[in-house]
Amino acid sequence: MTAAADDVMLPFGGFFESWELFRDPALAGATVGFVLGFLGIYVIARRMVFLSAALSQCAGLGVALSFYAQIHWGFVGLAGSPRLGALVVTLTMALVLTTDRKAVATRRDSLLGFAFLLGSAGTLAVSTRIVQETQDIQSLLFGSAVAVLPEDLRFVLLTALAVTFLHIWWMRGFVQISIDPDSAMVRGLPVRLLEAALLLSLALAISFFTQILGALPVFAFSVLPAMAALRVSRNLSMALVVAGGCGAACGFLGYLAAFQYELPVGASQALVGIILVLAAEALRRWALQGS
Amino acid sequence: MTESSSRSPLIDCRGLTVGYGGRAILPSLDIEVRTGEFWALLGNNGSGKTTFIRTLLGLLPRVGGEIQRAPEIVMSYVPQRTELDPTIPSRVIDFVRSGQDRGWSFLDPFRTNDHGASRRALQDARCDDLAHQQLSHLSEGQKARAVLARALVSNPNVLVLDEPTSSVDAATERAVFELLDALRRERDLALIVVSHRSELFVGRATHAIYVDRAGGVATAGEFDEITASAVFITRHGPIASPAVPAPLSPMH
Repeated sequence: MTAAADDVMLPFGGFFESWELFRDPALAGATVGFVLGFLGIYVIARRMVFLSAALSQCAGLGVALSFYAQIHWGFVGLAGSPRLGALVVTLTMALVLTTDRKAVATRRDSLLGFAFLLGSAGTLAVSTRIVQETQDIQSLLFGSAVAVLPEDLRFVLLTALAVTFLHIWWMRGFVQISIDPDSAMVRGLPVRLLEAALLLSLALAISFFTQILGALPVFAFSVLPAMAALRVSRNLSMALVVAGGCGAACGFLGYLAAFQYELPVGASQALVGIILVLAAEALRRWALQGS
Repeated sequence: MTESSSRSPLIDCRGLTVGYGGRAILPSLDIEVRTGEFWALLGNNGSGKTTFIRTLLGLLPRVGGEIQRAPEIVMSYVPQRTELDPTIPSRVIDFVRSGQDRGWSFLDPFRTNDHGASRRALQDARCDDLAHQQLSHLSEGQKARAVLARALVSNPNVLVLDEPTSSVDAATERAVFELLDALRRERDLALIVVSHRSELFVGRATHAIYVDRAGGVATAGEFDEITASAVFITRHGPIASPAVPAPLSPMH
């Protein structure tokens, strides 16, 4: 590199020069964004956009209960694992939601509100009995999109691989039950089983990813990329792919923008998602005018 | 004995009682649905029509009685179009293809697209010219045809439609019913159609089920008998003469 070139500060140059330092959180953000991006299509199709907000609170309650069990009941090892506790409480709540298949939008909203309040109030209440562990709960509950450890990235990649594989394998069923469950049932698809599998995979992803990246980016990834994709796609298969791509872009570019403009990472990732939604809406309107 | 009544029933209901939470909302009914029959499910709004049809389809548990379906039965169901979300993007061709799915295997869930079946269904529903248009950009009449094509793509022998013309104008409404009757004859279908517009069935329906939850009435039989019965006329009034038949196309 010449001396003149050294004097010029390339945009994001510092980020890529220190790639080793930022690699894990940036890749974790992109991976989580990809997975929650395409899962978000189902979230929006089923009109459950507050699902991830509610389930992340339930995950918090599971973490708090695990600490309580460790301290007061002597649970050790896997039995007292906060990650397992979060998973159990989140999956239980997801199963409750599957029992309400024909719920009208208002009832579904109220159930999500119930789950959110149970999670948040329960976490606060249980936390008062385990004050010495509050710091750990905060860390596990809200995660940090800034500091992702190598083992966290491995965990994210494994979870992403499992969820993506399941969704490619059973995509046909998941799409059918999300757009027209009654016709699917008449045509012999096991709607209840597929719904349970879909919601459990959502719960698993939300529970694990919230503990690593935090509630705000997880909520943003599960709504905004899908909103953008649904505006520019011509069918649901294309929307799933575009939403995954938009989610990955939100995760990575959000981290990059946070570095460049000194923003909180979760907020930056959410803002990139909002920009993508606005751009997609502009593109849709432009295409409509042209046709 | 008519030609259809000599065939064995595709759906055989004995003492079928429908309702919610184990409580009946209508008296029990016996019906037998055979190939080639056109059943009209009549009743005012809130009379129990949709509960009856959803029970018949197995979407709701029955309160009492039995429903026997023939082994060769292939059913398709068209719910009210208000249940389809307009924000979900879909070209007509993708929407129709998605109706091919029948049954499921958790180990081998991949579908082989039968492009011939999709083309046939689009042609039979008179909407092959709409194949590459977005569903959300269609008029209500065009949507009705696309929804019908999706129901036909899996080659059903029983087609159940819930208020298929609830949001279209009168001319399109008549054209949709003409199309349904033509499809019944061309494909040898058994049709069960829910509508509160009884005059649309005149000259087309062979059988009728009349339900009135408030009056505690559920009766079934040949269309002319049911619509001429005192119980129907007292509650519903005589059916108006059908207006001038509309041509099969165009529908907008």
